[in-house]
Amino acid sequence: MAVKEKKKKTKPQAEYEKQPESPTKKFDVTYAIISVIAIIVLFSVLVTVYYKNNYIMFSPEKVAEQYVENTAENDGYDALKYTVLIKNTKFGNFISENYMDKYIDENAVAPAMTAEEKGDKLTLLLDRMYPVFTDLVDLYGFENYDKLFSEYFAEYVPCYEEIYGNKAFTTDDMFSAFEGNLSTYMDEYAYNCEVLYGKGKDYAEYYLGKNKAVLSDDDEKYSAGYTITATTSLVREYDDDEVKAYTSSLTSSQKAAYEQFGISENDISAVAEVKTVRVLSGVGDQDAIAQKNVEFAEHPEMITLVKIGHQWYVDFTADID
Amino acid sequence: MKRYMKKSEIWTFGIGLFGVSLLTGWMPDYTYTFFNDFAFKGSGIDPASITKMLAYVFGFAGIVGAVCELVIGYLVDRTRTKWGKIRPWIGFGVIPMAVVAMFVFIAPKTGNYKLAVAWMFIIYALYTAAACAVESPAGCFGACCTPNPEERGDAISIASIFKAIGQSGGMAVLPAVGFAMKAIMGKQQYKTAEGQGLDLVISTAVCALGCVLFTMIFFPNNRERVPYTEEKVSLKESLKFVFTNKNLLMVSLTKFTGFGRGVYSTVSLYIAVYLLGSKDLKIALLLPMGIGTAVGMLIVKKLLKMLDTKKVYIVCCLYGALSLTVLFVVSKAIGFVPKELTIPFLIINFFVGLQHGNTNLTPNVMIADCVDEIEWKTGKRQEGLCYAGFGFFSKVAAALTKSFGPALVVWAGYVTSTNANVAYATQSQTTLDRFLMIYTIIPAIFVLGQMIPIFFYDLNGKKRDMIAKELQERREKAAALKTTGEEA
Repeated sequence: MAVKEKKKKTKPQAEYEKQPESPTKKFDVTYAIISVIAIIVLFSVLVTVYYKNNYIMFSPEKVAEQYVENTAENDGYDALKYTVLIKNTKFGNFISENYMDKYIDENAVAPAMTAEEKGDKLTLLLDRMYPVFTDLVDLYGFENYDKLFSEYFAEYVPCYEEIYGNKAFTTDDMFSAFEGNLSTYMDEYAYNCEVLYGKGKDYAEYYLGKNKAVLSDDDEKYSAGYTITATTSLVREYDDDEVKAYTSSLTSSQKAAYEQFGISENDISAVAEVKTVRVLSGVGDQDAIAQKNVEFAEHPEMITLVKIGHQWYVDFTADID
Repeated sequence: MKRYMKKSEIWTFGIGLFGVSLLTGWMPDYTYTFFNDFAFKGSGIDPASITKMLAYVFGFAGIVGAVCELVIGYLVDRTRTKWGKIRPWIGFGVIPMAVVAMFVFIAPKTGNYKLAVAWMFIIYALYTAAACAVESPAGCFGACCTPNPEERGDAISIASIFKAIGQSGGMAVLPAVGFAMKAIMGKQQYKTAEGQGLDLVISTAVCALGCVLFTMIFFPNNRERVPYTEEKVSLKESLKFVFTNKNLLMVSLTKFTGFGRGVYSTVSLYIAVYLLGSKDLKIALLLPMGIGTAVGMLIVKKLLKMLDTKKVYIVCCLYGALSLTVLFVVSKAIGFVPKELTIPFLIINFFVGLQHGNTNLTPNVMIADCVDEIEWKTGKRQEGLCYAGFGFFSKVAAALTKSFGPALVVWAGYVTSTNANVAYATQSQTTLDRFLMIYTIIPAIFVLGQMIPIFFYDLNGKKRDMIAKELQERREKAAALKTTGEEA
């Protein structure tokens, strides 16, 4: 019996219409190559110039400005981000690795809570930890971050356990608590009517109301609209001999601090001194603000910065105990 | 019918569209955050007043974009060069587009509020116009790359897939730039640079350079093969051809009748928070849907070879409505328990994403067929305005979605948190049910809505092939007459 071969159906291939090369081909290729090269050069220049002019860590004045503005707002914590402490590490990693990780219990389990329950417990935790925070800042200051962070988080752990009934906190929780207390601290000690001209709520309501400034109903600190900035000017940049003299005159505790941050004296390629003056601005009694600015101008701060690589950092090691 | 495109041309067409959409997909969202958070940081200008102005900046740019869409479409149709009528717009327009895009991210150093606002209005409107001059022609190149409708369908399908990938490409550029910056500068220094928006500036440079590079791969290798009509057409006549062509109007109307499809994106963050348990799961929501969209486009490409465009569109819309309904029913059945709902939700989200392949691809093929039909009827070829008309309806629909979405969130009864320590307040069961409806049932209704105009679309396979054949005969005749006339 003959076997019928099944013919496989194949789709007929469409004929390809061959065409002459495009008359503009040569120009198109040349234009394409030149365009790409031109754009690479243009963007490299634009980005480099923009970066150099805007990235603050390339400018000692800008670094000093950020440092002073943070300390003026009682935020010594964020001021540390402009110091030699962060040369070789991320600030958050430095804190979590040295002061938090040892308390983390991977096996701890947190029971389910509603969003409101979580919020209430966090509020209670922040209220309990705030006096601890203020006492430690008063005692050590932010420059002595080692004692500040060590003792704060040592107190945090039992406080958390008492409120939540477990030890299932994360480093994010610990950061949130610290930064929450910091925010309250900054608000409490921010410039306001009391600090500025020694007068309280009645004066603020009278004067600011008269000047149509807006006070919120619960603005007990009357700090609305006040900001502290800083003006900076480069005093001098050390020459090579002065840099050598600077690095060789470092005390043993400064050298130890540098080593802790992964820096040796030889890494310091330049030193600069920047004069900074705080500037207060805002709504309210402009005469009082002007008087405050006169006081600030009479007491400028001199900040010393060191250059490591291409970036400048505030050298605060002299203030560390 | 003969084939005209080299295999490499099909791929370089896709690469070119990838490049264009890499930049155009990056710009809107990241421009917003740059203007809002970084451009005037530390300048003394009140950030809240900048935020208030941004709605007007982008609204104005939206109007500029819609108007430019029609103007550019008209100008493209009047363009006559040795490069063709569409290619020069892409090849020569991409350079100013990339340069202007870069300058959007180079804010002037000023503490003057009026100057800052004027700069934002001007630079972003300028970018929108420059982008329109490239993106709009790039979208209609498929209609003239070959006279063979089947070959054209293949080219548009592959190019549309590349375009869809390019639109999300910026989301990969930013972390890649961040990774490189951390390696070079250190993690904290990167954080400081990030705090000034410098990573956005570098990422824009990468996207803009990528746009130029990929477009320059397309430009020398691709060519137009459908001859343009010699006679120039007035704007009035052009608009008449385009807006009175029934089939083209029906395709454009799908954007209008389906505008509510996109409202799911308004609530996707809340879905991640309340139904799945964490806002970090928003990316997990988008990823399966994105993968589904890419797979969906490959499926639609296959379907277009077996069925005509009308049938494919209707079938895919019915599938889309069904998949969204299934997602709703399954979510209601399981309940809002993150541990139990997350996996099934993400899996079904992939299947929901498949339908987007249809809406990304099929209309582009249909419009190319409409361009042929208009030329067959009137003797005039109007790729520019045909795609511009569709683009105009798309922009109107996008504006409607942007206002409808937030209105639905209000309808849902969403309550914001008043507790400083609580990001997202507990919502009532009614609100959660309505969020689920906004993500599923309401888009499903609009998916069915977008299908309705297509019932009146009659450019099916046989009619399309007949038009293509007759046009080819006319072009050959015209070419022969021209040659005879020249010889005489």
